Amino acid sequence: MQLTEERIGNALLLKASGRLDSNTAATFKTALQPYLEQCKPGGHVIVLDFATIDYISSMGFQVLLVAQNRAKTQYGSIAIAALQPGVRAVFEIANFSKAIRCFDSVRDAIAELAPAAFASYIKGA
Amino acid sequence: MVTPRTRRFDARLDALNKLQEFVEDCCADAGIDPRTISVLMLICEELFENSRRHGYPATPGDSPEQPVWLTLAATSKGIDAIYEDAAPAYDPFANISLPDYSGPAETWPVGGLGIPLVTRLTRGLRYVRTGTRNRITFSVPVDG
Repeated sequence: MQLTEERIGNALLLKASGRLDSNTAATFKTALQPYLEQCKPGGHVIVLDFATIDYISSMGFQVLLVAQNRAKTQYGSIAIAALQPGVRAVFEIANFSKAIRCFDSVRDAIAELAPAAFASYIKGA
Repeated sequence: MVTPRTRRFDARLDALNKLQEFVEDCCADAGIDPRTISVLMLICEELFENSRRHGYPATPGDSPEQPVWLTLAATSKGIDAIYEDAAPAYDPFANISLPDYSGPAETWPVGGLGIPLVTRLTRGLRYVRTGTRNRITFSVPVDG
């Protein structure tokens, strides 16, 4: 699994695609690692764009939780945006939307978590 | 009358793709919608990972002598499934509950989500020990 990045002010938009399951979780975790280092005050907030993630299992949830724990210990912010309906349903069933912040869209996530970057995002959108 | 299809897999990570392909093939033949297929795949992945990680005794690397069996009978109304492994007897659904994310984040468990998910996504979930196998039966109705 690959991540594509887009920097918008202090927001780092990371786009993942495909399946986040037992086969891909380790790769996703490794890909996420370098970005987490800068997820702290004075660094950037991370928004994971899941618009093209079409499947997630508990192994994917584990990676997300570990990433969030890392961000929290650094007082950083990480959130997920644009979940597909089927994936969102699994988040709800797993109670996982209580564990990590989820937004309906990337726009909503940036507006809330990185308001300073919002104008730039709107211009570029 | 639907003829159930059974296939054996090794409880190794590199066999997960084959298990997923089997699920997809059985469901596609019965005209099951993609969302229901995805739910069934999730259930089967969680059961498979439970066998692989927790059911079989720890051995260095993945052992080929750790089989699981999946039987699927798919109709336009849903799928009836039997999942089995030959691990020591263990009911994974005894005293199971979703992780609690209401307290401080540092107290949240990182794992333990897979089996609770299975309990929420299935109908008629049942565990029995039969001979040398753990057998889990369940159904997944078609979406909608």
